[in-house]
Amino acid sequence: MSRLLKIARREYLAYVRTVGFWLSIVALPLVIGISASAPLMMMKSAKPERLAIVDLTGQNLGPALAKVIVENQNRDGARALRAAALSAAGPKAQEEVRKAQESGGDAAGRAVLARYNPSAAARYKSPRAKAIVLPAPAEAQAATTPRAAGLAARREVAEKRLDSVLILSGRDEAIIMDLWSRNLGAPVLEGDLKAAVGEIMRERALTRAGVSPQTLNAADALRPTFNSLSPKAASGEKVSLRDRLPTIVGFAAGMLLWSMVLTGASILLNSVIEEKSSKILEVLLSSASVPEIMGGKILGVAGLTLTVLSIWAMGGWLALINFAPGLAGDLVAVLLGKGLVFYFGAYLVGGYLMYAALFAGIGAFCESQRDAQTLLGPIMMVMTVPVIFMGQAIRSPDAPILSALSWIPPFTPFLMPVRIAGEVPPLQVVGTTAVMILTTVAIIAFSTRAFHVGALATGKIDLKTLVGLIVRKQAA
Amino acid sequence: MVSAVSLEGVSKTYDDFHAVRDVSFEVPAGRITGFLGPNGAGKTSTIRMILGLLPVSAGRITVLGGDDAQKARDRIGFLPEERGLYKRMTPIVAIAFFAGLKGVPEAEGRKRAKAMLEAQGLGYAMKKPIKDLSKGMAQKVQLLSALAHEPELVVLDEPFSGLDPVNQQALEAMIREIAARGATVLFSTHVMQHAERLCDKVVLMARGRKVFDGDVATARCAAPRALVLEGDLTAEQVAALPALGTVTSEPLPDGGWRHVAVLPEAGDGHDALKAAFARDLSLRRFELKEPSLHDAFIVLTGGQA
Repeated sequence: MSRLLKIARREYLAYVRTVGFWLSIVALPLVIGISASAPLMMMKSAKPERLAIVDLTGQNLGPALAKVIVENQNRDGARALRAAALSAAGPKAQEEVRKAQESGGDAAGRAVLARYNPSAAARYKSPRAKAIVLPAPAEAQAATTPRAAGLAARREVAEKRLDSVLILSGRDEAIIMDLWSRNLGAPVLEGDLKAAVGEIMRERALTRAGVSPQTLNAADALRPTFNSLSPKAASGEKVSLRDRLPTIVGFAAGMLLWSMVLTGASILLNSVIEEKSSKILEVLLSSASVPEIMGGKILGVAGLTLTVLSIWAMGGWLALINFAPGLAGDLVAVLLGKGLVFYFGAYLVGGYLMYAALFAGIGAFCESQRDAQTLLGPIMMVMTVPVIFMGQAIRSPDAPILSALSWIPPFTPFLMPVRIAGEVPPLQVVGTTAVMILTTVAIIAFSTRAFHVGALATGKIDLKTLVGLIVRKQAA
Repeated sequence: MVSAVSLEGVSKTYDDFHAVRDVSFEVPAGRITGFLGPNGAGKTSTIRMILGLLPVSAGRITVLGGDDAQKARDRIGFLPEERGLYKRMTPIVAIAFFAGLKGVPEAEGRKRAKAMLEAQGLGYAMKKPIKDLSKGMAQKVQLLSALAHEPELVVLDEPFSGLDPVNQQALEAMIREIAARGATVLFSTHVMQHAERLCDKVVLMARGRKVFDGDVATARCAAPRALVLEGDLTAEQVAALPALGTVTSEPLPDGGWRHVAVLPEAGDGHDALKAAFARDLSLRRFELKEPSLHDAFIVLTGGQA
């Protein structure tokens, strides 16, 4: 085994045997999982809001509102079932479920889903209702003024018998909604109630203007048939989720690359700092050449990064084929069909080498993390720029500013994976990649020299001294 | 005599600072050579140039018959001035790892590491993390790491620093063992006693320059012998004795004085002693003091480090 491989092996084993490494593998998916599922978990775990409606309008607005609330909840449930069908069995199943819902309600829709994916149908639970409309307390019902009703509502809410009480007063175009709620920050139902009452007011205004209920219903049912078409779509016209998937995958890959490069380079930096501060570097230098030491360390940490990536990819794949097999198939088609996986691999290697070599060179000058912070500050600022623009790249991958930024080598490995899913001119792909490769080679050469100088240097070194030392090729 | 290391007019400068100036010497193969000088004398820079870790600013260095020490690195063992090992590694793994970098197969490296650790009384600690070892034990492990590949040339930069007297003695024994198996040893130190006990040859450095290069006995000759006289006699009485040079005096804790009189070249102090007895001076003790390497160093550097 060559020296380079021996150093790489030591580097890999030194980290892979630590508890921290395995914790870090679990930590990121856990954080992402919690962040993604937090709103859903909160929604599912939240108890339905106990709502009472006091109607002082004399226009039967309360019962009409209660009816709309139930209808909206049913509509949300139907939509959730269709989303589950899309995730578990793809767009065709979603369309079948929609048709079944229209003809036979949610039960029919669920039966269709069961035909496509029985386990998904079995797992599916309708979203919990946001609110249950309860009868208003007698005192509030007996009230004749909003103030009197408000006193009763206030007591009910304060004594936790109800979560919210809505007092409707006024008439026709001048309806007043007083919502008493226990939630001081943002009443849960405020938006829904405003929208529902507004809708009822609109319908009633139209009825008063002579529009028949049939015409109103027909008008409500009016929906344009919208077709999203693109010559870039796989079908040549209609855009499907599969057509949009490459951009989403590109964004995810860009973020993942950024995270992996930053993590890998940071591990490498810490490793070099540890060896520098514990005076191991000088011993290593007497046993192996600088390219062997740096190469070994970079390779070892790359092994760690790939281990993490493989475990995450495997975990993600298992989750996909179990919970969203339709999406899994599309993902494979996107990654392999358009060759995105090879581009992602190339940018991962380029980005990692560029930053890893730079961080290793800097680490050789640092006896502690504090020393490193001074030197890394400007690099970290540069690294945040592509993250700011990555989100933008999803919407408009061909934006001129993104095209320009893609030519800046430190940004290329992160911006190009997001853009590559779109229609990036081949010249841009080849050109930016070539510039990235050349820059990486230059940075490796510069960092190799820096590593040699830094490994034998003593004392605190600022950025100016560092550059001076390297340029003069002298060791301090 | 064959040289393991040869320096010809070697200099090293950092910007305007001359760390090493026009240094030439040879390290004879199979012998122990001491590289002596105070802190900042240029020893570490010279050692780093010998190992090829630093480029020379001027001059030429030959190591184990070649101009590039990096090419001969597998035949060289090096213990740097500031010691360091991977703290979570065990001694046996650390020694095998560094031996592996020098071309020793892993299984053989582990076998050698085990034998060496047991020979040094560290067998019980071979599987403990290095962070759990005492400083002395860790230094022994590091030295073993530099020796496990059985190098032809062993370069030790201040190997005794930080060691207690017992471990210093153990290290001296190890250095003698290395030389006994035929390897060349070059070690730097600023403590002259180690060199006096161990070295066949010494190279003395001061302020980046070589001030002496030769065997210990010759180095000692650079300083004069002295006659030590203790008793209730005054400096004037000693200065009046025949065939003595400069006299330095200091009071003794239990009363009386200690006078050290430099003897002229070839002088043995007999005439002065005869005169002292003839004059019935109050003399409690006398001694003919041979110069130490330290004395020689002071003379050779003019008392300036």
